[in-house]
Amino acid sequence: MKILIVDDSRVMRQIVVRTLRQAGFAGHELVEAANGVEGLEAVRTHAPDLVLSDWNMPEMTGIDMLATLRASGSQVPFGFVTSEGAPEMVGRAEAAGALFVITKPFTPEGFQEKLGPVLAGV
Amino acid sequence: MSIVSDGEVVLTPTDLEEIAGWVWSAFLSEDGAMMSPLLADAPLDTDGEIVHASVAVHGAWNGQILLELTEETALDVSRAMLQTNDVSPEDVTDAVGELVNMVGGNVKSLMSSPSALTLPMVMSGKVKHRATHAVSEVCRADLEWRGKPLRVSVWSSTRENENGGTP
Repeated sequence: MKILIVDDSRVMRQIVVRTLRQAGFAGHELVEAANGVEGLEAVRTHAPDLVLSDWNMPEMTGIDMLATLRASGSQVPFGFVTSEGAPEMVGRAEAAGALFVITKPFTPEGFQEKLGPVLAGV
Repeated sequence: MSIVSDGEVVLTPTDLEEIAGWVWSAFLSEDGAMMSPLLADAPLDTDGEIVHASVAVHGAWNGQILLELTEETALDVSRAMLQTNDVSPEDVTDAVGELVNMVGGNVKSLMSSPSALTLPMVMSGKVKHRATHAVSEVCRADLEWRGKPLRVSVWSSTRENENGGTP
């Protein structure tokens, strides 16, 4: 299983990697990208099974990245990991095709709850 | 958690303490050190050299969320977040920016919507924040982590003064 982590913060990418391990999702192949543009390229290059993306990033936001993916026909499972947890943001994310939104700060239990069903079904 | 009065959302210091507590307990409590309200009567010396991290919110509510802490505490939180002592100055900027981003994102969710959050901005040095006709402090929380003081504050601004940066 290959998971693409997209976040402009290297510190946050490290924390996401650590939390995946703590949540029992160790052993997956992890790929990292620092913004939506790099994320799109990484989807093309690595064909991940799941994308975990921040929302606010320079160059291209996560929501624009998701819209670009869906417009190009990609149906890669996609979830947000973001500080933007307001109901209207969750609605926008789901309308754009996101499977879930994990709000920062998060816990390993939160990852298990949202990622468990997705990774089980991939 | 927040109170709406005459259409204006009022955020309390307790709200800020709670939000900062979530962030710190999630990513900065590996050694059991928790965020708490400032116990000692020694708030952050904002006249000294400190690290200022901020995010702005634009939209139905306009304002900024500010995190201030000493350079030493900024280094400590970066080491705790990355779980290594080997951190670069870029890591410190990144870590402190992420902290204020998380606090800001959660503050934003309590305020009038829709609105958008900017990317974080981090500066070091002597920066004075003061109220003007266009910017006013809504509330602040003086907090303590590992015995070190830090401050989280929320500033409300008019649309004329919403171009990011510190108040």
